[in-house]
Amino acid sequence: MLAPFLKLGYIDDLGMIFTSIVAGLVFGYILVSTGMGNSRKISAVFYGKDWGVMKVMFSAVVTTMILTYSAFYLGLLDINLIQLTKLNLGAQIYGGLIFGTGMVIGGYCPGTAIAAGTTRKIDALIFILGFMAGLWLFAINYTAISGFFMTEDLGKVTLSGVFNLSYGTMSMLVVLTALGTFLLLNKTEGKLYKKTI
Amino acid sequence: MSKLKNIKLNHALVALSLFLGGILMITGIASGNRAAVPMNLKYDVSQTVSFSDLNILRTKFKNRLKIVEFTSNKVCLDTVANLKFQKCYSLSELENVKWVRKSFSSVKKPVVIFAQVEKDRDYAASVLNYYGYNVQVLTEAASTSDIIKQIKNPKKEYIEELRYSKSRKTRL
Repeated sequence: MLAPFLKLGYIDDLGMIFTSIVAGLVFGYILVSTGMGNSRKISAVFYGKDWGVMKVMFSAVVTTMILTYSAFYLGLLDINLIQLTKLNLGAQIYGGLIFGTGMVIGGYCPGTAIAAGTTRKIDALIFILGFMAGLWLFAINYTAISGFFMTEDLGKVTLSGVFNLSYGTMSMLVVLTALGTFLLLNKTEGKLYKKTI
Repeated sequence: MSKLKNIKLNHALVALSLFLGGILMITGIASGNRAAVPMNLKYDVSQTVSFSDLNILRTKFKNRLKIVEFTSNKVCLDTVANLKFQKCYSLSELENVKWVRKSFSSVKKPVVIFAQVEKDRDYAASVLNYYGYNVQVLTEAASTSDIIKQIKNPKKEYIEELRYSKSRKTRL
């Protein structure tokens, strides 16, 4: 049986909702258990104090990439059916800046805020209210403000497509980049941060 | 054993990542960036349709179905431009998954296949079935013109059958 199951009709919408709930629970549990439900630990990455967030995110990227491409080469997944967001540089840059600013100020991203909210952290619950209000304001003003940040639609862009490499070769390069980054992060961890108080 | 005990977990994970990355790289180069495991092309050709079934399908799906001729020759049987949902493709195109997904955008839309050669028709049916499409094989077709004739001017009994199935639906 070929994946993705929803697109090929092997599971219906109800099955997809059930799968999403199970995956969400596992994801939330892992986030909290790796310390990603702690705003101090998350914001510490911006001060060069603790690289935990970068290590978790890079590990997740490498794991997903290896599993996805292994499934593709084993004939279990049709990679053409995977949902890819179209590249819009303006939206990505402005969105990234707003997202990053919110992360430095609040100490959470939406996912980690919800994970932390389940552990009854007041700051996380306030953060959730904040980003929901932000989402609502953005949605109702979208038509008026989209011209400011939306640039040319560059279509579905992947690293292997840009460099004209096979998925396997690109995977190896990303693995090497991740390992090199981890080595660098381990060497610099705690050294960049200077206590001011 | 003593050596194994000294290996730290993070070292083992580094080695595993490099090993899997290496395997993927070799597979990617060797397979030409295609799936290395061949498709399991088993298709039960009992999912066949006759002209009358085809007309029922057309009504049921409000013409949102595809009737496709596959050929290993470079030339299709006849002109197929008369019907917008009818196409003729080369059998070799099926090797390109990107092309398949582009040409058959919805897996829910039935694909009715016919070909000049039975072997070609069954191969096309098995490949599209593998990719998750709702495949039906048209066994009665002798030529494209035959299909066009049948679809444009269905035999009287087919029309009666359609009327009957429509009225039965309304009554239900």
